[in-house]
Amino acid sequence: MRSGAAAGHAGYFHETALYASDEELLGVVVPFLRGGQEAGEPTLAVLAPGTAALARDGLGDTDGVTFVGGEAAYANPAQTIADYRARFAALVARGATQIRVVGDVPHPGTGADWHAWARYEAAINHAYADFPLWGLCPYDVRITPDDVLDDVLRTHPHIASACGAHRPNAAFEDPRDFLAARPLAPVDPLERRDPDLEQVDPTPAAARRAIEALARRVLSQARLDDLLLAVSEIVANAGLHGRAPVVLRARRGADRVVVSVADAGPGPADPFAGLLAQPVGARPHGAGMGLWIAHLLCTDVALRREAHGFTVRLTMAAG
Amino acid sequence: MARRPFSALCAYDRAQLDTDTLTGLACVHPLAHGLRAPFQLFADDPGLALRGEVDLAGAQLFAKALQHAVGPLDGAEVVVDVHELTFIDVRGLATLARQAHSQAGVLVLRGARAVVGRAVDLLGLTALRVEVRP
Repeated sequence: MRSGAAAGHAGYFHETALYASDEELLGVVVPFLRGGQEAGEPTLAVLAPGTAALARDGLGDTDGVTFVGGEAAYANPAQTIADYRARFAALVARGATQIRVVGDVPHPGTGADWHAWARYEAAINHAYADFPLWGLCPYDVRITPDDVLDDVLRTHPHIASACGAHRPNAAFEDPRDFLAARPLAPVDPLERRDPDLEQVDPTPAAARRAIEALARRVLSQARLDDLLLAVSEIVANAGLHGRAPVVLRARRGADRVVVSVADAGPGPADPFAGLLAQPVGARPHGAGMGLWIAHLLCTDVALRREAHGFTVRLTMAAG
Repeated sequence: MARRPFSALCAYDRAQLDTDTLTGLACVHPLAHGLRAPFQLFADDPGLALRGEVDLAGAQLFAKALQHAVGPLDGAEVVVDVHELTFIDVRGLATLARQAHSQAGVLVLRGARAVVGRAVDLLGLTALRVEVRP
C-alpha cells in the first residue's frame, strides 16, 4: 500500500513544488517527510545544505528520514540515475511498497548548467517508472530562471503546493516529445573560435591520437584516459550509426577541453540514449553503451539535434 | 612454452596468405616482423598478456583471438597482463567478459589503467576483475 498523494498510483509519482519562501518550502516538504515517517516508508532527503538545514529544523524529529548530500548526489545525471536505480531496487527487494525522495535538482540558480538536468527531469519519468516511487522536486522561484521553470512544468506530471494540495499538471509533456524538441545546450565560448583540431571521418584510433596530443597539457592522465575512451566511443558510434561525413573538432582552453563529434544523420532514435544504462547482454558487443559511458566519464555531455545533423559535445574539465 | 627459456620463430609466406590471415597471425605473436596488428594477445606467465590497442578496427579479430586463447575455465581465474595495453574500448571489455562468462571463469586484468577499472564497474562486467596499476 502506498500512503499519501501517491496512494493508488502505479510506478513513479513525479511531483514538483514551486516555492517563494522558506515557509512555502516547509509547507510542502515537512508533510512529505513526516508522511513517510508515519507510514514507515523509506524516505530520503537529497538536499543542498541550505534546504537540508531548513528541513531538519522544520521536522524536529528526523528519525526514519535519510539525509543525503544533494550536491554529490546530483553531480552527473547519468550517474544520478544509475545510483538511484540501484538504491530503489535494493529497497524494493527489502519489501518497500513506496519510497519517498525529495531532491534538490541543480540549475543555474544553484550554479549548474541546466540542459543536462532538463534531460534528466524528463528522462526519469521513464527511468524510474518501474519503482513505487514518490519523488518531489522543489524549485525556489526566487533563484530559478524562467526558462528552467518552463522546463520544470513540462517535465513533472504532478504539482504540490504549500497549502497541502496535490494536482495533476496539465503542462506535462511526454518525455519523448520533450527530449526530441529539447532546445540546444548553450554554446561554450571556446566553440566560438576556430577549432584547434579538425578531422573528417577519422578512425577512432586517429581521433584518440589527435585528442591526446591536444589535451595532455591540460588534463591529468586519469582525465585524459577518461576523455579518450569517451571520444573513441562517440567517433565509433558516429561511423557505425551516423551518416558521413563525421567531423571531429576540439578546442583547448586553460581549464577544459571541448570535443565535438558531428555527423549528418538524425542522431539516436532512442530519446533516452546516454542517460540510461542498457544491460550489456541486451545488445551484441555492448552497442548502445558508448554514449552512456561518455556521459559518466565526462564533465558535461551536450547533444544537439539539428536539421543538418547530430552533434555530441564532450567537455572535460582540467584536474 | 611461456614458462621455459624457449624462443620460436614462425615464418609464413606472405604470398600465400591474405591480409586478414596475416593480421590474425600477427596478433597472436608477441613480436611480429613485417606484420602489423593493432593488438597482441599471447600466452605469458602466469596466464595471458594483451598489448596494444583494442577498438572497433580490431574487434572481430580480437573476439576470434580470445576464443582461441581462453578455453574452459571451470570457475578458475586467468590473469591477463595488460600493463602494455594502451587502449581498450567498451566493446573490447564486453568481448573479454563474454568470453570469461562463456567459459565459466573470471579474467583478471592485471596492471590496468584506472579508466579500465571504472568502465568495468560501470558496465557491471562481473566476469572481469580489474587490478589497477599503482
